[in-house]
Amino acid sequence: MTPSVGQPFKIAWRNLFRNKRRTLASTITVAFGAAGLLVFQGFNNGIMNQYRENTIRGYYGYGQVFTKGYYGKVYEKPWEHWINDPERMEKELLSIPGIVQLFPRLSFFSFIVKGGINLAGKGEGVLPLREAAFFDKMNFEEGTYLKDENEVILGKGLAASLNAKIGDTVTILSQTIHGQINGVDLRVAGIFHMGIKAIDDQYYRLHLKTAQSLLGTNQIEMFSIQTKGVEYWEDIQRHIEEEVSTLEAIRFEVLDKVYYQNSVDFLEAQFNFVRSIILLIVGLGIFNTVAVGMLERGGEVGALRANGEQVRRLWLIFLIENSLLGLIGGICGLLLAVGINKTILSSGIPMPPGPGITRHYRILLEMRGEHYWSALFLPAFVCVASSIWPIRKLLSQKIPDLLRSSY
Amino acid sequence: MSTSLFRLKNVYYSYPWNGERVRILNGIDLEIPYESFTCLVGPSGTGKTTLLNLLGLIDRPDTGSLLFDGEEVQGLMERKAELLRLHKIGFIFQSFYLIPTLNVLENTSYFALQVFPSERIALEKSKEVLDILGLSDHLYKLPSQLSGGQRQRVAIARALAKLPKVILADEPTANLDAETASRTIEAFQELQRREKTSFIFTTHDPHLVSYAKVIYKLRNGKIEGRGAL
Repeated sequence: MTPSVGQPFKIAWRNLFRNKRRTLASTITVAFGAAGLLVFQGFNNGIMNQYRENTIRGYYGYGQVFTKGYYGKVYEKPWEHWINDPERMEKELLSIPGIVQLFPRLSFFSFIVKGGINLAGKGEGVLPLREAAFFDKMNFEEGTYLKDENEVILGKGLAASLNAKIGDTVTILSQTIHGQINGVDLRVAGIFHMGIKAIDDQYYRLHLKTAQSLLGTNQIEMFSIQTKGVEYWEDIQRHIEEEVSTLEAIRFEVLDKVYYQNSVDFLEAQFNFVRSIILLIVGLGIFNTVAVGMLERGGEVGALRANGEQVRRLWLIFLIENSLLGLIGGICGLLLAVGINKTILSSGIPMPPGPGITRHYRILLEMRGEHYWSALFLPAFVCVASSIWPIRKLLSQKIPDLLRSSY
Repeated sequence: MSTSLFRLKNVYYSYPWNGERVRILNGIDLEIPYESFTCLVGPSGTGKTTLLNLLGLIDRPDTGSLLFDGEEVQGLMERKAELLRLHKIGFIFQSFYLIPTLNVLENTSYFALQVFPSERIALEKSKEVLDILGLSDHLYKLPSQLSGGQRQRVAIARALAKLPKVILADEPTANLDAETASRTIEAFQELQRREKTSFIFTTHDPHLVSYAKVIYKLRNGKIEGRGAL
């Protein structure tokens, strides 16, 4: 081995200082591309996480537990598939590491009556105090959450159809699981919306005990789960399925596939498109700069090749040079993005209410490890890729032509 | 071992121009011995540079035979030609074509580092050549900090530090003043004496021609005459 192994790296590095203005222009191009990718990905992630929080804390929790085979199916007698002895089951589930709180729920179909108006609705019995502590992202149009067993909160569309206002009394009529007609009068405490008209037109909530009394059962339909975080779900799900064989756990992305997962997929597709545009701009900028730079080196490359320099070594030198350029530009871009995040965007980006949400909120950039890597390496890769054609064009020329092309 | 460094027999060369082939060399017969100091002269456009390119294996004849160091180079693969050029041929041009971001020693040792087995030997040989060319005091200067003559000497040193069998120089003094040109040629002679390297150069300068041991005169792509001093 000759002592020239490290020579291409040295020459490539020095070549960056050959035309400082051009190197600076290329570095800025790559840096803006990398910063753009990182900021946009952080923004996107911020939106997704904000939306995830809304989904989790609005209704679903981190996931829900049903008896095995219940979720996703319709039964003539659903109570035959509900969870028996919920207190015992709750204790068992709470012993699983990572579970912070459980929210037992019981949903059922009923008539809801006010004055002469009689509508079909879907009620859900919950434990109000427990739910209010965690599910703080419900959208209330008027009033407040349930405070006692004599109250009900109504979906916006349902309340409008019933012409119900805060303080009005409505009557819930249903059938117990034993087939008897049963009813209860409840006072309207709040009017909310979930952002989906079909739900808001028929959905209402009442105290779990009231719902159980109405249906003549002490069963519940399912538990909604609060965990220590999204990252705990896999373990919790595994524990539940191993330790409580009669139950199955469904994560929130599956429960809210229509809204949450589709939104995530939509934002991801949008990001991929914007990323392609950013990388295309970086690629074109670098291509132009490298092409001009290569043109100027014709005579020099011709003289080197006339003296025996090998084409593959020149390829290596030029590719290293552009890799270094891409990496330096990428690092500058990451620093720029972090700087922007810590200064201009430190208090987040104010956003209008999202779909199905009434609150304004601020998006904080959430840049994760893998975002840094992709923002660093994608523009660097594009930088190298866009230099290949100009390099190839230069190195495929005959030596006499290169010598004649000298500046 | 062959007695001639170069032996050309009936060499023709043309290049494409506006859809036609323009003939540059018209049946060149030529023999250049080892350790020679040879000059190619002739009016512009007569094929001196083309002939030098063929001798330097950076172009190939259309037809004819070209033996370099006893090896037929007609039809030689480019990869093999690269290695022959690296180890046996040094090229100098009137535009110096130094790498602007490398200093004098780094430019000079560029090829020596690829040829010699150790960095120490490559650098020693480079410094020795630079010393002969009077550039010992400028080892760490960039080309932009040197005069035209000094740059040309660095280009010579770069071609020579790898100890090739032959140096081919295309109008090496065209961009130099008379005094620097004379000093450059004297350096060629000194290096030829010390390293036994052959020198073949083209020039229009009659003063420079006077240094040559063998002169080939080209006209219309043919060797019109050969002279020896």
